[in-house]
Amino acid sequence: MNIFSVQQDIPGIEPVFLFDIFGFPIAASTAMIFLIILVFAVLALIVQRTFKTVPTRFQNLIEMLYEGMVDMLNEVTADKKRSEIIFPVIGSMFMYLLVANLLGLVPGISEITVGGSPLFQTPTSDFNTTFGLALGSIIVINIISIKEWGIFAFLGKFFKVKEVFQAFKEGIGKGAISLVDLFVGMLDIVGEIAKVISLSIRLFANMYAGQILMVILMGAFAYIIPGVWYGMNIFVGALQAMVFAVLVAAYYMLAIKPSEEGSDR
Amino acid sequence: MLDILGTIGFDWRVAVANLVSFLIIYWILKRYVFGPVKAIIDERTQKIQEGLDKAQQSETELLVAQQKADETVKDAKAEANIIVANAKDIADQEVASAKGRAENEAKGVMEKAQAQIERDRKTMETELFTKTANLVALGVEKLLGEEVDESKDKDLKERAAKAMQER
Amino acid sequence: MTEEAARLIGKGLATVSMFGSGIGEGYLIGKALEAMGRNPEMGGVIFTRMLIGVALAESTALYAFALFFLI
Repeated sequence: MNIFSVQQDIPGIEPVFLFDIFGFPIAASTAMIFLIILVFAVLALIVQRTFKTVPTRFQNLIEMLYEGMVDMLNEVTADKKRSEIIFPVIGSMFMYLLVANLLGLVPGISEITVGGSPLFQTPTSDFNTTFGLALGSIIVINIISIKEWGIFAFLGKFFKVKEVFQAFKEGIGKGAISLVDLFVGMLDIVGEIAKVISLSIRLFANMYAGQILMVILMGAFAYIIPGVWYGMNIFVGALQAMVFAVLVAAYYMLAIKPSEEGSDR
Repeated sequence: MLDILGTIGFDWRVAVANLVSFLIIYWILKRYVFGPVKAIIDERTQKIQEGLDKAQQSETELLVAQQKADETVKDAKAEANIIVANAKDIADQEVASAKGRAENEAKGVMEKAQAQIERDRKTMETELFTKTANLVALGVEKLLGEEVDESKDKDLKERAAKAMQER
Repeated sequence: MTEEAARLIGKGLATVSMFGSGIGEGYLIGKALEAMGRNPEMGGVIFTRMLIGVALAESTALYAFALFFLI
């Protein structure tokens, strides 16, 4: 033990359960989300109270963030009407993940302990948060897709039975190729599941790896170097929040009917 | 499947709790942040647009007014030109008439003077004739040495005058 | 060979995949810089897209990281 290193335990990958409410366990990440809800409630209050047509400095910041999100979304969807419909979901997802990723980096927050275990854990470094979010968004996207295409056309995207029949009418060779298409279409079901896994693990692993590397660096040399990684963590947190939101928007655009060519752009 | 995920700490209860929490955040953000912010930004954009429109309009109005002013000035100039031209004409006429009158007057004066001179000359001539005739008659009387009577005298004088006139 | 030893070897092998992620990221950033050099006025757009791409390429390594804990 020397003064140059700060030894800490590597945080566990399991969710930390704090207490039960009516048999329903409350994890440390959930507690953190309650804090985040509080943050957004305060933000909502500020918006309601102080936002006017002539902006203050804080309002400028929020509006800059808002317009940046809108621009980003417009770039992904390339369709103003569509992006207006999904903006509240994508925008709130981005802001939630941004705050969730960055709030855990505020010094002192992870030091608050209840009964020996930390009260707050960065929500995105808990696999359950990211998995729930990814699964929820993919399910909602698929429901929207069913609404958009109709149930049969939606199933037809995965089971291309109709195309197989048509191809066999034209000839045996084409029919054989269409059988491959049938299996590839079925693989898209796996693709949907892979979307959930990749979305959730990407975000989770980024944040969790950031924490672990921080602990390891603090154990090796507690000055200067962790600071660099700290900055990297802030950058990665913002970036991954953006990536998650942008990818969900992109998956949404893949799921819906393509808009008529030349309607926008 | 869920067993594998369980090794990295998957627990559906936590997942559901966190997802529900996210939904609460979504509701808060949509209802109380994005809505008002969008309304404010839209309102500001509209106001700016209105201001720009107004500026454009006033600019056009200014341009129109300027044109009108220019036209008025042009009209006034043309009118002034006409008035000046008219004045010049009138002045010319006046001058011409004044000249004519002066000439006429001068002519009249000259004629009068000439007539006077003529008259004077004539009277002087006649006087001269008469005097000369008288002188001649007197000379003749003296030459003849006799008293010529009244009628003869007169007759003599007339003859002398006639002879002189004929010369 | 005990089961624990095999697991440790597997964990070690999982970290090897980070190698590919590094190559991918380097290639991506290099190409992005080339594009920025070619038309600098598009630099901002290319940079944001590059960041997204880097994040996606990095996720491969992070899958390995998750796998590291799964094994």
